[in-house]
Amino acid sequence: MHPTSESQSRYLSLAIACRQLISSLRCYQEGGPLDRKFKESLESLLGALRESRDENNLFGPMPTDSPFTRYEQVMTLKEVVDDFKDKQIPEKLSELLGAPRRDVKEPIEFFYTLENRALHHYNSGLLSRDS
Amino acid sequence: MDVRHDAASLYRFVDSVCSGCELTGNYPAYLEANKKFIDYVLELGIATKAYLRSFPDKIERTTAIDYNLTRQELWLLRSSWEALHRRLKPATAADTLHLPFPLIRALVNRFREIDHFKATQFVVIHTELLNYLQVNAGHVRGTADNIASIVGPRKFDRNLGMIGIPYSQSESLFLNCLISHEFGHYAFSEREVATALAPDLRSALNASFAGVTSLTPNLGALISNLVAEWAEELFCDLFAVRIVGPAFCYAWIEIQDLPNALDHSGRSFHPPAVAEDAKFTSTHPANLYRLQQHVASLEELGWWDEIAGYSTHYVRLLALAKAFPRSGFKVPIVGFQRYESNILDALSKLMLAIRRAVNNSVGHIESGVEEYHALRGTLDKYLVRGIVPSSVIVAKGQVPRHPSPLTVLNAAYSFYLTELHHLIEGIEDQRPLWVTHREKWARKVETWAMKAIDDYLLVNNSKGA
Repeated sequence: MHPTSESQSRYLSLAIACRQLISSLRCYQEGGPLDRKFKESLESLLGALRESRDENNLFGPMPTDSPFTRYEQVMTLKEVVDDFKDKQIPEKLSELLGAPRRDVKEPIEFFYTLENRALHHYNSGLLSRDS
Repeated sequence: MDVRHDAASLYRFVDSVCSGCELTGNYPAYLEANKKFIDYVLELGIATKAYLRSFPDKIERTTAIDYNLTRQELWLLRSSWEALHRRLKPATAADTLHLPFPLIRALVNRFREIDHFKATQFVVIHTELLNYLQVNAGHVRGTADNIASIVGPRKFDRNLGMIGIPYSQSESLFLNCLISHEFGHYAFSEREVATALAPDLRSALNASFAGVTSLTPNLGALISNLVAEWAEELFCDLFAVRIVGPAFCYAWIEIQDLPNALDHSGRSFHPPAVAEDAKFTSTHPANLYRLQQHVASLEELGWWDEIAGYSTHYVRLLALAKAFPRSGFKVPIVGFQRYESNILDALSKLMLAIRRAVNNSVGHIESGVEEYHALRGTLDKYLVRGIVPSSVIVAKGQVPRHPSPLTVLNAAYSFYLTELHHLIEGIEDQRPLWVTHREKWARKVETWAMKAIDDYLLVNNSKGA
């Protein structure tokens, strides 16, 4: 897939979504609740990850309006999840959808890294071509 | 100290971006939407600068563990401002003197006939690209919202869309019909059509690739994204045909110079040329495939019966595209050729859902065919005499009628394609076969049509864009 300003904007959308998740998790860390928007966003991310790893699903997640379902976004997500492979990130993120309060240090670290990777992809696109 | 330096650097960048937003006096004048956008960016800039002034103190209060988490906000802000920066200058360059103002107002009014979009306004930006169809400025909103969520002020107005037109085409009436495709991108995003189409896309892919065992997951993901991108473009095309009618198809044929695919008779395709127009790319469906879908939509709306008999190579091209065999389409993208027929089959299966999505997004707005049918002949008579068709009398004794912008646009475009020589023949020392004379009178027809549209808006007290 050729890099285009469209794919660049998808990296930026991914970074933005990560920052929103980080903000929600920091509020949660200070005792606040996790809101519906956070849960919807997290479900979308987990769904995309699940579908991208399902061996019976050759097409991965279908592209939607979520910032986790386009090709560039899914690839970046998978890269970072692989980097965290010893930390069972998908499982820890799934646990956040349940009732008991959890420690969110690792999920925050994960979203920080994902945001960082997405910003790198976004900015390397800016420098490498006229878009 | 380091962070103070970094915050100051970004402060300087934001300040320089915002300096272009400080408008004084009444000149230049902007569309209301452009003014709102420019004012909003200024507001965002002020809030960002206030945030940056306090940022070093904020980060000093964080723990060592949280330092990088907070520091990265600066990078995200800079990246977001960079994205905004790309759209700001084109918006400030597009003052009303450099826009086809009546046409934009008329098209936005037409768009607002859709129930869901009654309050929508469009920021019009200038682009250096001549191809309108590659401009999708809608991501600006997400970027601005992100900045707002970090630095504080209100979010970007949800009713503000963005469209790009080539900076050199401010006087053009006909070609600027292409902005209705950009309306389609706005509608696609606002109505979350990608999400709505996702189950249909999956069904189409699964059915078309049933029995295929050689596909790798990475290629499969690329294919689903490819078909989704084509689907969005086709949605926008069909949306534009619903909004503007055949004028959109004519404009698209013109800007792509698709008549190049015709042979010397003008009645058949020239095989080597048409083969290129039958190729899909990594971002867009094949030109001919798009034309086929345009014709299907024109047929559905009743437009095709009106225009099918016109004596113009544009309509002949549409008729030829309609009959072009499915086996002639190609997907010459590296790695994809092996699955060409599966991919095209999936797109074909998806077309029904795309048409349904267009109908759901547009709802029940008039096609405009009825008025066009009633008035086109009369408008021709006015235009061939060089009379602005603002108020027309169809038959002696009848009260004057004021053709809608949609009718004027389509009638004037078809006149330009089929009757221009009659106009020129009636003028002393002008030759219909001379390129310079044709260009001159084509321009006049556009001016008269633009005036008729402007008059209609004035009489109907239309605020528009």
